[in-house]
Amino acid sequence: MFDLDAAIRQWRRSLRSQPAFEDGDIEELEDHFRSKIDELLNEGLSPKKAFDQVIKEDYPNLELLDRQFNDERKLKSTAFSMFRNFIKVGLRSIQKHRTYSTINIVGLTVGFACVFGIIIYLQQELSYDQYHENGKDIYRANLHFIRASGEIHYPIIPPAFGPEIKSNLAEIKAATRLRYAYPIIMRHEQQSFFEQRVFFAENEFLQMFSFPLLQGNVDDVLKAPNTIVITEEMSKKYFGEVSPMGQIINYNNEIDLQVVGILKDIPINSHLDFDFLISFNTFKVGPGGLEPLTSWRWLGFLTYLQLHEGANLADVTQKATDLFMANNNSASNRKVDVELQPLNNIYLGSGDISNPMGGLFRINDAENLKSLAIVAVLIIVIAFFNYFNILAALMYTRTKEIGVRKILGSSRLRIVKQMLVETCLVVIISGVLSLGLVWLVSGLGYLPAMSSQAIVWVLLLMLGLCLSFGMINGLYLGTSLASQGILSLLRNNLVVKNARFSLRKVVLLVQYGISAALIMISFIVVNQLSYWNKKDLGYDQEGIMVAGFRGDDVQNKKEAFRNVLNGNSMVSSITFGPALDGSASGSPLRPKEWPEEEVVQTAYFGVDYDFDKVIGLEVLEGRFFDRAIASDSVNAILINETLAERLDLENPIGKRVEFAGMADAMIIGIFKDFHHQSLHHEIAPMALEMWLGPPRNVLVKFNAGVDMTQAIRSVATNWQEAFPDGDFPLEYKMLTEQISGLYSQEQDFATLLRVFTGLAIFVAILGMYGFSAVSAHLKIKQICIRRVLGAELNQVAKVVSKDFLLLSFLASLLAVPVVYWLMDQWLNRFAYRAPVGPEYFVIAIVLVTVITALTLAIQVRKVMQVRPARLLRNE
Amino acid sequence: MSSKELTGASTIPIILSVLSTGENYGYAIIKQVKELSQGKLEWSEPMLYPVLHRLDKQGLITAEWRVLENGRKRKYYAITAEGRAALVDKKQEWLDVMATMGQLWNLKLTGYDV
Repeated sequence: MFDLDAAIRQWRRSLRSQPAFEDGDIEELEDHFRSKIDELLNEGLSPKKAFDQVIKEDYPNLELLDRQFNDERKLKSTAFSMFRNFIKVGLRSIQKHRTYSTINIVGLTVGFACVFGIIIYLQQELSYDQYHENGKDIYRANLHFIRASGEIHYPIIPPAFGPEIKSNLAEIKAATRLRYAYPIIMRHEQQSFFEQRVFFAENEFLQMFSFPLLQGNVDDVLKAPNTIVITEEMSKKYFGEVSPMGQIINYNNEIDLQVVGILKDIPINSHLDFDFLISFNTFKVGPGGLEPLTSWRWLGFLTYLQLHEGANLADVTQKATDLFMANNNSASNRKVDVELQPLNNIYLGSGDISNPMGGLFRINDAENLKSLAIVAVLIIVIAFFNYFNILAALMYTRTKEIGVRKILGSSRLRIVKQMLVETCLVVIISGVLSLGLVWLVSGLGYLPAMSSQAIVWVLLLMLGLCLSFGMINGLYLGTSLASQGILSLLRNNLVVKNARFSLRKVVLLVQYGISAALIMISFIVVNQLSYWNKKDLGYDQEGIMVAGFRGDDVQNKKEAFRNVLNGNSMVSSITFGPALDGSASGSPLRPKEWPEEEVVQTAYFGVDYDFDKVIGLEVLEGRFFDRAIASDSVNAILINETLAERLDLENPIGKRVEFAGMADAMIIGIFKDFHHQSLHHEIAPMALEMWLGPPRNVLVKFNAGVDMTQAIRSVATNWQEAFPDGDFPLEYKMLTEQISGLYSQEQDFATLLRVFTGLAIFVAILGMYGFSAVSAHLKIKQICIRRVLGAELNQVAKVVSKDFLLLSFLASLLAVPVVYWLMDQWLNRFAYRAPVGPEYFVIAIVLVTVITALTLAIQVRKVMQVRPARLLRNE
Repeated sequence: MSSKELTGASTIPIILSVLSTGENYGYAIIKQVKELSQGKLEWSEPMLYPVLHRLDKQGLITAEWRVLENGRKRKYYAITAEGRAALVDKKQEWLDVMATMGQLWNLKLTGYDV
């Protein structure tokens, strides 16, 4: 039966290969054509006759029309029209090979988008602290202690250092100190909030750094005591639309502070992060404080120096060290250096520097950034190889078209140009789509906002990628097609070298290898993270709530709250003490029997009774603090195993030491080592003392098996009873959360790595799918003949998948040693690393092979659905 | 069938005249011209469509796609005000030529009315 519509569709397609016809022209002609046929049909002709007659009459007309259209357009620049023709034919070819074009475009788009995403992220990470006008002359003064137990770089230093170095060294243009405030309550009228990002700062701070003031005078803000500068965001939070200037904010129910300036919000790419700056001279050393503000021993202040331009850094550093050694009398017995760390280097270069308070300033690990950059490069490689592979395979399906072109007199150059335009088109479409994708993702907040600098980088890179991808592939394809003889093109008999080591096989090998490596790497990183989360820290974390305990008169409320909670049936025990967020105080410890100058630097917690019960601390020798023994609250300490080992005292219990302001403390117990810091660090010498001053945190341990939500709600109710006026909000965290927060850097890295690995693998699978589809398509005749001759499914599967499975397996094997070496380097930076067993490698290899097999199975299924008789009849 | 040059010269005024009686599409224009000329002017696609497109570009006519009831798309052309002005000029040129020839060949022209 003659299908008129199908015939017309075919006729229409033949028009599309004439470059001069625009899409609109073709539709108009189709209408014309159909009108003519309709008329003949009305006259009673059969559809086939009508069609044939119109075709016969029209054929010369169409050719003429083509020429006419062409002549019309020749009036314009010929180079332009040629280029337009290339694009038109290119777009049509993209449409014709719809499946492969989609695979190519999706693969390239995802690949490009990953790379752009990584670049935007890297750009943000590299832009930290780059916007300060005096930036290149600003340094942070760190102390570098060299001890037998190891080296420590400390970024918080004594308060006397800043002013003294400014008045002593001519090279110092300015020095400014920052003192962190412990998280406190800020109140304006009835509104109060718990605030964590508060510093005491000198006027020089705002002069040295370029944190612009929206209101207030940078020359004299923060000079007067009891004044405060707040950020725009805080202004909205506390004052709404009302101007905060001159208004009062109360600090911790202690001091009224007058707002004297509004800062522009601190950008995300700043290593210092704060919402409030209180004038430095408001800061008072509280009662019971160990040292005055003229101290050379109190490690508690960030100090930034601005050098005069051209000052000799090595010189200044030496003089600063000399100054420190001359004043710090306890330093005579150990080696201490002052280090000046350039501002630009703080964010990424502080890996060795301790970051007190569980993260006083923002840092990131330059190694992680490098890894991400490598992942970006790998993704580019995968995306490129994918595209290359599919194109190279597709080439065999386009031989006829090229052969006809050659007969029609297309020069080699023209064919190469055509292929170039086609590949560039695909790449550019993908580039634009990926930009859109990145824009979308960043708009949704999953990526940093694109800075203008990032946009320039991305655009430049896109241009480069488009040019190189399009050029290389187009040239390769064009030249290899153009060099084939017309006859072999028409017969579809390309001279195919089926060498054992063809370029295509190498490309596939690399691609499989990279995919396998990425899978292995993410396994190992995730494994390390879960190891950290699961490792026994030496104390209990489960079912413990940590809440800030601050505000007015906490000292008196402490016992009342303890009594209320003791009546709560869900609570097993309660104590006041450290937040266990990785921070601790530090002090030298000297047994009385040791010579005067010998000490062990020791971290310590000030704890309360029952601390041992709450966190399940094991006392190995001696005992924990006891309410019944009055002297425990005055001069008793417990030490950990590591410290006991370091002290190496005979019968340590009962020994007298100098420690943390106590001239005559007694060791009453030795407790089992526990990790008070993250597992990046090894266990250090540590001690516990009684702290009966105002507490900072309350730790509540719930009974085993209680419903956590209910338990927390009951504590919240108790809290309401204890603090009915509501100006002291309950801010809590579960200890497990708090601890996993210590690994947030690695967690972020793992998340990024997982996302990008997933996407890279997706791209690789797409490519593999496309490539195997083309190659199955090419082998279709062979397969059909085999099937006619009685081949079964398994034999067909073998033909289709022969090369691929072996290649994927080999590639994954090759990836193993590379990944092992790389990850060994990464893991070696941590004090506690998870063992890397062979299972991760095996799983990755199996995964890659299974994915390959599944992709191939789809192809085999498709091939099996072809009816051999039908296909072979066509030949 | 008239000579190529004459056809070329007459296409534009004929198209504009046909369209001045109402909008129309390519195939129907060809048919109408064929009927009016009693089959003596039989245009083919290459004679018509490039000219239509050119006139469209020059702004003498406009084109618009319509969807027919059976779902097919058809491109309709209509004369513009500018086209009508151009037609007046063309008409005058042709009338001048025809009047001259009529006198030379001593023919009586019907419908001669300016």
